[in-house]
Amino acid sequence: MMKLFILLVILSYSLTIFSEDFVKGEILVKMKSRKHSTKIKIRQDEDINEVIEEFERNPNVEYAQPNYIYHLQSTTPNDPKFTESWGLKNSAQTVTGATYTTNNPGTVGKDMNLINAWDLVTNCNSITVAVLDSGVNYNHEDLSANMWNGINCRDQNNLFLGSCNSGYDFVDSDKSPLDLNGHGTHIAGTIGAVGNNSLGGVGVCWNVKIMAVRVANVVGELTTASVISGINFARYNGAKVINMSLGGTGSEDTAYKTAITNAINDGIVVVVSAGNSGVNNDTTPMWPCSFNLSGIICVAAVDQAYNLATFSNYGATSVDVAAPGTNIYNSTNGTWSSLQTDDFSTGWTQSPLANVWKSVASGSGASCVAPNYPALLTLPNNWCANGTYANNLDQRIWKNFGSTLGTYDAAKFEVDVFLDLQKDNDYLGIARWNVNSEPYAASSSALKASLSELGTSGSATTVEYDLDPCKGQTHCSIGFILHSNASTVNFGVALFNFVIKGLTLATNSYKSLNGTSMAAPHVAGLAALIRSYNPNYTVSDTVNAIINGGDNATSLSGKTVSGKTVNAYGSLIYINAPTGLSATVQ
Amino acid sequence: MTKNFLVLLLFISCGGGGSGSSSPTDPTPTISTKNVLISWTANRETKVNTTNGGYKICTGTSATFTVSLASCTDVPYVSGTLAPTSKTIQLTTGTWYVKVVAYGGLTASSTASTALQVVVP
Repeated sequence: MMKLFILLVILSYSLTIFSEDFVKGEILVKMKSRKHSTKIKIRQDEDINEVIEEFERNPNVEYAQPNYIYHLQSTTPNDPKFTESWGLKNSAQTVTGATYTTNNPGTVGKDMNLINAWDLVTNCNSITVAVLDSGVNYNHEDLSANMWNGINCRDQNNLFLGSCNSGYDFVDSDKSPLDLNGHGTHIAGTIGAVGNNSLGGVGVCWNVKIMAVRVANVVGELTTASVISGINFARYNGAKVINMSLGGTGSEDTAYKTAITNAINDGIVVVVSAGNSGVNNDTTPMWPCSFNLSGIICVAAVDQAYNLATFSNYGATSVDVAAPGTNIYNSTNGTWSSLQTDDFSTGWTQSPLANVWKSVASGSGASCVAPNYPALLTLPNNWCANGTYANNLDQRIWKNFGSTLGTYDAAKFEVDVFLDLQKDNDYLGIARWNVNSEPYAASSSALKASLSELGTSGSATTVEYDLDPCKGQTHCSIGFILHSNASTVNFGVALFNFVIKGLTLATNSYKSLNGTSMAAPHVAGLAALIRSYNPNYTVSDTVNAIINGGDNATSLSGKTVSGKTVNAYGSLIYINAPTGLSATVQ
Repeated sequence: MTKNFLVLLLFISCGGGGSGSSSPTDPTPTISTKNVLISWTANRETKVNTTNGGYKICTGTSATFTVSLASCTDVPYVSGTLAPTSKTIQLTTGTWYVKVVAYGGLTASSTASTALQVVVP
């Protein structure tokens, strides 16, 4: 016995050559004189590779090897759109309806390794994940079974509310957080589209409780107040994970940070997106990603070859990990249809002056040349000749689009804008109201935006605004205002590609989307999977497992804190180092 | 270095409790073996606290010793909600360092804990 022990110690100096996927404490040895191999027990703390090498030095041994572990069958769901979900299993498939053309298809194996993770756990039904977003289409065929049961719902102040329908709507202040944008439904699908139900796609969790917390309106606008209410709602209703695929720049918002801190202290993992501007969050903070809180996981997006997506924000000290975020295929709330376009040529009324705003036909004007220049609405009227607008303007223009919206579930309008104004002094106002008159004057609630600076100078930006006040109304007027002060004028404004769109909700809609908004819910789903597998895990344990279980990615070196993409299997088998050691000599 | 290591492990292996002794004329110091209770905080991974899970207590003579080369005592999960979180081991007179590793199932194990210094009189 002693001899064997010394032998094993000596063997322990050789190199490691095998993977870990074998039975510890066992090897298989085939002697030349015998017909079959024999299973031999060795000490579990000994290096199996060195033991094998020693056996193989014996001339009587034909071979020695680990007792490898195989899996009878990988856990693959039967959902028809699973084959589109490269982030869950990347087989170098070409994603249908993809709009991010780089690396579609990508690289086999560049995925979250969920096939192996699902061998360990698929069911997160003990975990509630709050989706703070535009709501969720809780009637969707692939989500309804996984929605949170809000039968004993409490409000953001922890007061009893009664029964809520899957969550709460902090935009309309009601108990039905139906998604009128589509963003939140897609995120909910990535986290927890019902798995193995022969329908649609599949979530990271096959079964989970998705809490819909509507904090963003039809065009994705949200405020600090609504987000804080949403965070507190999640806290008081038992969420273990919050997904916030949202963000904004500016100064650090103390109330916002405090709300997240409270959630973390209550045992909630908060997963947030890094942002889609392609900038460094270390130098240009994006909130909540840039809050320095250990319970927040901020997620960048990688493409199908695990390169950092071109749009993804990053940050060596502020962005923690990366996850699949291009061409992500999953559920959405319905279909947006184009109801009416407008070339500004007829029906527009302006005041108080005449001919200040100008309708420019497609392809006309000195610098607005054919063949592809769209129809414009400009101020100044010589915008195409590089003119400048006048001082002291309050020039308005509007048009009544009547009852265009019909019975659609929601409506919005979009317009592309070139903007060159005196920053912080002159602005473009955009308003809408249910009147047959200039909307800005009709209601103090009509104004949707006052834009003084927009996007990159010299290029157009698409803006969109809700038409909520027009829903079910006879009139729907949309107007623009150019306001200038007494000094300094610039090139002004040009508007084009105006369109009104209507939403038809559907329970069987799916689409492909890009964004760190799509990356974050992969991690939120993983957090739920980890906490389901390890019910006693704390926030810190979960974050450690997500980060330490990930895979190093070359493209993320210096771009994120960990330099890793998430790996579900790696996180599930990750074990924290023991702590709190003490010794008593007796 | 290797030889020293082997000698050290032989001491551990031979240790069976009780104290060593020396004659009044023997100038070498007394080396005794003591029971040492090692305790730690329970890991929260389910797989550590179920069948095939548990811990290993490993000892070395420097704070930076390598667990895979060290002498370790297995502390496997037995029953109940948690694997054991303490174990009495035997150490000889001297300064020792103890690390604990958690493992779960057949393939997963943690990195080692921070080393704890133990002085055995």
